[in-house]
Amino acid sequence: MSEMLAIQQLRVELPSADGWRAVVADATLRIGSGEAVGLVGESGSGKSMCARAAMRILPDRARVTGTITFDGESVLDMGARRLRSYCGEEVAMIFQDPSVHLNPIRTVGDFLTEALRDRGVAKHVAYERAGSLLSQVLIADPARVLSSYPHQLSGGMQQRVMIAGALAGEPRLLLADEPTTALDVTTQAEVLAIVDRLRRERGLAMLFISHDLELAAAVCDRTVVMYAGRTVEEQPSTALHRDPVHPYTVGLLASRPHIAARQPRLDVLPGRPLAAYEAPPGCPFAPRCAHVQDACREQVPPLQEFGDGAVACRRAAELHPSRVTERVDA
Amino acid sequence: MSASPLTAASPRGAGVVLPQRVRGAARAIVARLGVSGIAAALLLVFLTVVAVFAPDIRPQDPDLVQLGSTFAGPSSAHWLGTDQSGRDVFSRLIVGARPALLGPLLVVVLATVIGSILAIASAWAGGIIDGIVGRTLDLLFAFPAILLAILAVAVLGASLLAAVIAVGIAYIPYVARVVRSEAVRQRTLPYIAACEAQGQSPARICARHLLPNLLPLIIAQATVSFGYAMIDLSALSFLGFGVQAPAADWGEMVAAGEPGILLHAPVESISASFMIVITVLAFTVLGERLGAPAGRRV
Amino acid sequence: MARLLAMRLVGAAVTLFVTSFVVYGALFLAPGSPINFLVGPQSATPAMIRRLRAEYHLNEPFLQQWLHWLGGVLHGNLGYSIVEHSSVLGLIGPRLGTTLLLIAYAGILTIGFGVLVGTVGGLRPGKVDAALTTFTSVGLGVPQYIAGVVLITFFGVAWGLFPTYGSGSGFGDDLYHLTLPAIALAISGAAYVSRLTRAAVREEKAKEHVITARARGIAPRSILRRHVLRNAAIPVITVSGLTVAGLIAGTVVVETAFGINGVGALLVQSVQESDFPTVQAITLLMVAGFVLVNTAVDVAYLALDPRIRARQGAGR
Repeated sequence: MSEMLAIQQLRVELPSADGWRAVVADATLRIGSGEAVGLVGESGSGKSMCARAAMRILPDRARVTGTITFDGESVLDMGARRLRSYCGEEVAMIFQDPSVHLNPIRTVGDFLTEALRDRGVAKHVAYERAGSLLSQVLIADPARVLSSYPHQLSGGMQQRVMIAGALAGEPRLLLADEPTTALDVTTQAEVLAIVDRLRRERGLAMLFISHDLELAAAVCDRTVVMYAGRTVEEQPSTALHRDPVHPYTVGLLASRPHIAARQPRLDVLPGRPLAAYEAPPGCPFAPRCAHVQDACREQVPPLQEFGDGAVACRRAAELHPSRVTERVDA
Repeated sequence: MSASPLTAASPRGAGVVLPQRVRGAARAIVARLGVSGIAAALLLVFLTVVAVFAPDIRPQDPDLVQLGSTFAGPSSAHWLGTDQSGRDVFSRLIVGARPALLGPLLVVVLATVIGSILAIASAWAGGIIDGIVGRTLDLLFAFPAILLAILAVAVLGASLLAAVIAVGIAYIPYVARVVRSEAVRQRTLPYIAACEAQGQSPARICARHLLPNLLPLIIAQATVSFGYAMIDLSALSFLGFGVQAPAADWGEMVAAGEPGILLHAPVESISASFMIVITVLAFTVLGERLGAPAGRRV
Repeated sequence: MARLLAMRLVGAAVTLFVTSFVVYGALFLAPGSPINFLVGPQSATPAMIRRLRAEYHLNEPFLQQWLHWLGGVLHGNLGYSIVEHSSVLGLIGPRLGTTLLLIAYAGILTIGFGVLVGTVGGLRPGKVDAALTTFTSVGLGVPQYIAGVVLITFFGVAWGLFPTYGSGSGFGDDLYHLTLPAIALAISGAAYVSRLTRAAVREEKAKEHVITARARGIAPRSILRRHVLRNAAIPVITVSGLTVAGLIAGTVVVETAFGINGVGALLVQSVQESDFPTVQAITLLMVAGFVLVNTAVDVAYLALDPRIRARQGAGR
């Protein structure tokens, strides 16, 4: 599988009253062509910022270091013109809350045909294409929706419009930033099903960002876990769920309530999640880790290969001896 | 589990003079007001002191007519020169601070008290009453303050009182609109529902709970309104409809000094204009720092 | 949509109705009898008194009097000025052109400068924006008549760049004479418009749908035009309209300061002369202008923002 998007040691800082604040400290992830990768973490873990960095849509004042390559080409060094063709035609993004991501004073048709019309496509042709896109996201009455304004549509419809808009440029990679978080549960399932189907039909690669481990696992082949702006673990989804390595992932999975069992108390991780700039020196999870040692607090553990994936924990081999020799049979 | 570095106490040097609470409050005020806000507040305090003690501070008799030296330029005898009747401009400027500040004060008190009561009652009652009050205030909005004041003056004769009452009434809808929208928002908050559940009467809830929470906004709005009231009232004095000559008032002095401009002796008009502008700016800056909404009455 | 439009127009009509009531009724708040008040300092001959009684229908109930007057106004009869021995319309007519020109001139300056300065400040944060903000803050605090006086002092008398009094003859000369007054009238309004424009542009620029457009590879120029400015135009147009409405009342002080023979100056003159019919008529005219501009802005807002149509349809 050829590598499509590669993010290496990404660091994103934003200016604040107290100087530069890191929101992403050290993120590393890869997406192969056609592959679906889940990016999981709590709020403040920096996952959204990673995706936005990959599309260069961070706030103008942000400072970005590290490497992001797409098909070998450095995204961070792209010129304005190349960037415009990159966004939309090679990579596209769908956002969390569609109601604020659609211009409220423009119709859906205007939104969908905007990029095409800018490139010189004739209006009626563009509108036809927009209509067919809406059909593909299972919108029953494309003509009516094309002439509607966002506020006239339900949340689920708005998100489908957003998906249609993302697919309009026929991208090869889809970045989905918590696309179902703002929707109610039934709609979530519908929208997810649409995204999944379209992805498979078109052979799209996808980065699926979520705070919900299980949701990500359901849709993605591999899962990357972030904490305090760092990649802490990366594994095939099934392996991650069966046997998580990093103490944070272990804690996350353990804290889920079991539907069948009765628990007097939920197992929770002590403390609270940190943003990258709040992390102490050394391993960011050290203050909350049950297996912490002095060495952990001194230096940040690097992300190292482990089993079929990678983990950033000094004690990984020690705590999971059986995984060290695991390999996927070719 | 180790203590988070976020909660560790930061050491402070020795030499605490004021008790903790006062220092904390002072720091909060400084942070809120900022440099510009504090400068504005100091200026206003200074002007208030000048206005209160005006008769004792002024160097010369502001009403002393000396027809031999009209529109004289600044000199050691008259720091800002003389006006059309040879009166000392500097003294008149000091004495003029009184009506210049008193007028807007009355306007603001009138508009704020009535406007706030209407707004709170209307926000609380909701429904038809809110609708009626809203419609009535909408009608009042149609009257620019100056026009209402001119109408009042035409009918009742030129005086500061007529101008004050008219402008005060014209400002009610602006105050009411700002206070009402916040009152409506507060009304839906849980703490009000809690009071209602306890069986407190609406009047009591409004007075003891709603009002104190609205007070910062009301004060900020009143501060900004002070500035605009000053603009309108001084404009009326400029037209000859407010403070009547020979009493000194900044707006009136701007008008009275106009003939001097053509004679290349603009000091009276310019100095009075300057006083008005910096006072209005001080009120506006202070009000905005206190949190008045950025809207301005046109 | 048509229903909302009708509601706005009806609202405006009601406002004007009630305003005329207030303006007319003010007459009766005056101390002394209306006749004495109307006659004012003049000595009243019995013929004059009879004429006034008839004109003002003072023998009839108040409501009818008011309706008579209002009916007259709607037919172009604004009353008769005893003081000036002329129909009020005859007094206002010749002066109306000058005042309207002044308002238009000031309006163009207000909106033109206000929107320009505000847009630049909103799009380019940093030193430029800080400087502009300081300027506009000062501009907000300067009353129109003071702006006039200061302009006269420096640009008129001291440096002799512009004429200081009167309204000139001929269109070009008119504009020359009205330049300083128009600037005086426009300064605080322009400051306000620029403040709000800057805030609106800033706000729109930071909105999420702008990020969506960037993520779709749309050209920055297009984004600016279609998503930032077009969206910001809605509050900007609203504010501009309201500010222009405010210029109407401002003509009173500015015309007085500059000695321009316009409707505003006539109002002041009529008050000084106790010429109440003229005061009534001009006050009503100015309020009517104010209400009409506000209503036009309301209607424009309806047309521009699709969300309002949906929201308003369900009630306030």
